[in-house]
Amino acid sequence: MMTPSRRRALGLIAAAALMALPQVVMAQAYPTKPVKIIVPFAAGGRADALARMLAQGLQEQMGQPFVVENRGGASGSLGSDLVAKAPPDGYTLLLASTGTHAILPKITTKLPYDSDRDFTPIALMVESYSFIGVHPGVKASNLKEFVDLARAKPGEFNYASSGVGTYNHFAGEFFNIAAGSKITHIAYRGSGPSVNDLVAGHVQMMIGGEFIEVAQAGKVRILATTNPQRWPGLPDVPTMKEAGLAEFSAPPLWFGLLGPGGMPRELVEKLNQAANRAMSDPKTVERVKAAASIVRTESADAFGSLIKTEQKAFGDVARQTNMKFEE
Amino acid sequence: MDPLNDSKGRAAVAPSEPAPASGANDILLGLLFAAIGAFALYVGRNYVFGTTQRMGPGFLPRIVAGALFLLGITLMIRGMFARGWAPPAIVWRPIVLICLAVIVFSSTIDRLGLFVASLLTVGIGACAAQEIRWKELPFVALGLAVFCTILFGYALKISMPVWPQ
Amino acid sequence: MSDIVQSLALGFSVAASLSNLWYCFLGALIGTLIGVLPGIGPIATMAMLLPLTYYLQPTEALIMLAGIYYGAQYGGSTTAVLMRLPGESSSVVTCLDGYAMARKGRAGTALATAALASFFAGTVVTLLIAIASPALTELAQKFGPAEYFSLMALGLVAAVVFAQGSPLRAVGAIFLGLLLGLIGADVNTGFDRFTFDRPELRDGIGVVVVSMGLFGIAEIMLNLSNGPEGQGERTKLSRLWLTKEDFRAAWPATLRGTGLGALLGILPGGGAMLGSFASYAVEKRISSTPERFGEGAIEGVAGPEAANNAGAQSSFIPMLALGIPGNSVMAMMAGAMLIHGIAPSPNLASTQPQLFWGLIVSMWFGNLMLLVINLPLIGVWVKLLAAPYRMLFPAILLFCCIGIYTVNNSAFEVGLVALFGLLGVVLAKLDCPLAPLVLAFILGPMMEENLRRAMLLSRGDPAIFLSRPISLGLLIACALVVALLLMPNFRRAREAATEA
Repeated sequence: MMTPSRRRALGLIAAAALMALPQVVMAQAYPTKPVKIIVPFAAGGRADALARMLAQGLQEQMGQPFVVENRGGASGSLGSDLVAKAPPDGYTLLLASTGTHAILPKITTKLPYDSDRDFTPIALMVESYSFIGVHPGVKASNLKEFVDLARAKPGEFNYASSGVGTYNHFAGEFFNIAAGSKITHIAYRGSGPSVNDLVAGHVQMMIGGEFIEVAQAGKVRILATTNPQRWPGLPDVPTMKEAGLAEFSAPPLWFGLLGPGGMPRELVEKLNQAANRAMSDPKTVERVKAAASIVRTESADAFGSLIKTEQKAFGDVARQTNMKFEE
Repeated sequence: MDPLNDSKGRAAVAPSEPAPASGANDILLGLLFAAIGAFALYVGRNYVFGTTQRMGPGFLPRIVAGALFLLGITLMIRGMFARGWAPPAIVWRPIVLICLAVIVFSSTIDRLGLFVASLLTVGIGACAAQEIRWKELPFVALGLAVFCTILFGYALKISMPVWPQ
Repeated sequence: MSDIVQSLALGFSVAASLSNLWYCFLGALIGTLIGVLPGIGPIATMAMLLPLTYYLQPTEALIMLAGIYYGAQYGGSTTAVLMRLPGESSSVVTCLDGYAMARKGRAGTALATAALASFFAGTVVTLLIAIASPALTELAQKFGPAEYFSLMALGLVAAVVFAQGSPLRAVGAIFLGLLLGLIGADVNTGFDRFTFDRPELRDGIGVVVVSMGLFGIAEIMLNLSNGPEGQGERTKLSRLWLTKEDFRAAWPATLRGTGLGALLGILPGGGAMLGSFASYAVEKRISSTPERFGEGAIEGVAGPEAANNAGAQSSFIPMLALGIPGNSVMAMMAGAMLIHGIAPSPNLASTQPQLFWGLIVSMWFGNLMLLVINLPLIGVWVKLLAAPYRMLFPAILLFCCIGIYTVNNSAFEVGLVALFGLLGVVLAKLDCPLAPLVLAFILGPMMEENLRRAMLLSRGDPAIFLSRPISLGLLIACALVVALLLMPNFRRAREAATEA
């Protein structure tokens, strides 16, 4: 048996050796066999749908099948682990999200991989919109009124999330910090039950994009979008800054493509360009819109630094609110 | 119909309940329950119990495991007072071989793929039969492996390794 | 009313188009064929066949997917009757009396009963969806954490009714089921309980893994240890259809099952799987001959199968009326919509009336097709049982492994099935009832979650369970069931005392 550090060292040597090779040739030949895109969540849902759109686009451009494989479980760490341990040859890719790569490493120490070293950022795909939604029975018609109400009655309101350490949970805590309010967190198992209880009024608030359709039917009142710019689908909904809570600093939710750590530069570039092209296809752009999201393409480096910045933001709040998977 | 007087009700917990066929089953089942309960209590000894108002993650585990343990003890006591001692006859060979076959599938599927895993599973599993027909066995194993490989690997294209990686 | 007639007419015009009828039929057929493979339940079947629908038009895709779902569900019931292999948690109940009927050579009758009861329930609930979706959704919305907790508590108490023989053993089985249900990360804190540092256990053990192990794999082991004589009886075929007495017994049970299943199915978050358990408990409770249950009582097949299908169907209600997927099957449907750029939403009926009403009417067509596909197939399935068991069981074993693997692409879960198979054999040999264990396993996590959620919402005041009328009503029902279970003893004890 090799010790992990020894194996890593060998991996680095191998990676260095690969760098020295004429990688242009290698990247040009790629792909010569089917490529796996691992979705670290169960079939169905936003990540799965995105991965299949991307796979179709990549397949058309590269002429090899891109196969989507669902490996759900443990907040996405099971699927991520598979990719972390795969060879960095571009044949095993990961559909990652804010949850798996900016949040998870900050709330648990039990991950079987290193979230930075064991992955190579390839392409940002999508930025999803989140909104502050309140039950229509809450006596606040705009964000300012709600903040005042929440401050005046500490401990009276609750907010829902789809689980401990999910994006909804963090966004709720970002809100409590920014508004100086004390809204109690209520965790649910997944987004279905949480949205259901928001609509029914068992909880009063939620931050996320899961309830946008329900809100458009008037069953949830949207006070603001938490993204830095307004959503084209709801141009009348102000941003947090416009609505008077500029202190709110939760970074937007994203989905993107990652590979195993130490992928050769050329390969990353090639995949980045192909993914960006696939996502910019007008039909894909339309479909992405239906899920309260917009297509966002960046260079691989810009994507990498985005992940780093976000990890810090989430890490700060996790420390401040002592949010973690209890151990 | 009088719901209070049906046969189900009459079989409810009572000291006068007709004794089961053998006390051995009660004692063994009680032992199993008590052992699992005690094990869970031990594993969960550090889980935060919390208060009734603010229950911790250890609240229900402690109560459920404790109840299971006590129930096991009760069953054992009841079994000791029952007449007769006839432990159930268990034929271990099929049990062990079937378990083994499933475990072999679980440990080979990711690396060796569907075809090989199927061959091994059926090969081992088929040996659990009372009379093994050695001439038939290879054909059954091969036939099933080929059928599953074609159906799941190629026709349905499910995401599962088909051949050794 | 004329609105509904108009909408249904629109739905008929969409659903009865040749291509949609074809995809509905195709979905039901493929769903049945894959779902009837022993060990491959509806969730595994849907996960496998989902990609097939990506290349279709949205309406066709959803119609086909719904067809696959019904087909797979019915296929799961078929294996439950024939081989004691529940494809999903709700067919666990069908295993009890359906399999007992099969052992008595009445497999054909059991399957025909299941098909007819399912069709009846499907027809009623399709109408219900068309007429009363908004009202039912409103009712479901009244269920908050407190109500869910009380409902689960009632379910647990009723689980004792499943006991055959000693209730003490049933109570033990319930606690063991509860304990197994606690495995995994705690929803409220993310704390890992009984996971032994295996990340695969963080989300808990799947219901399919538990029921497939306890029932399916364990049954293979038991059959093999009983020797060849244990399997002889099943091949004696009497008839494939129901007698007059069968009809008379099954009919009221089907009605009650339909009602119960439809009601529980509208509750998002697992209501649908409780319907069949509830129906069985009711049938056994009100029967004048409860001792027949577990020995092949036809009411024990008709009621739960009707409830099963009614629940499956009415679980579409929260999805169609609110756009909120209530369970994993509905989440897959929602995912399929997203792929086609349609977001499930409460406005679906007004923005996409063709798709919305077309889908609803196709549900009825789907049920009809099931009947058309399955009634003739019953003879075939039953004949399959005549195959020598030494050829049959390796196939069952292999399909079980593949089916479990497909649900989450997890080899670990396949290994767990072996463990539960072993547990199932030991418990069966020790006369411990398994149905209460599975029911408690399903109910336990939901009950704990909702108990703690309710207490958080009320800031620690337990009065929340008594101050809300629905919750109070359920708790009173709970107390009544306990009283019913205990009363005969009191009475007998009293009688004994007066006699002495």
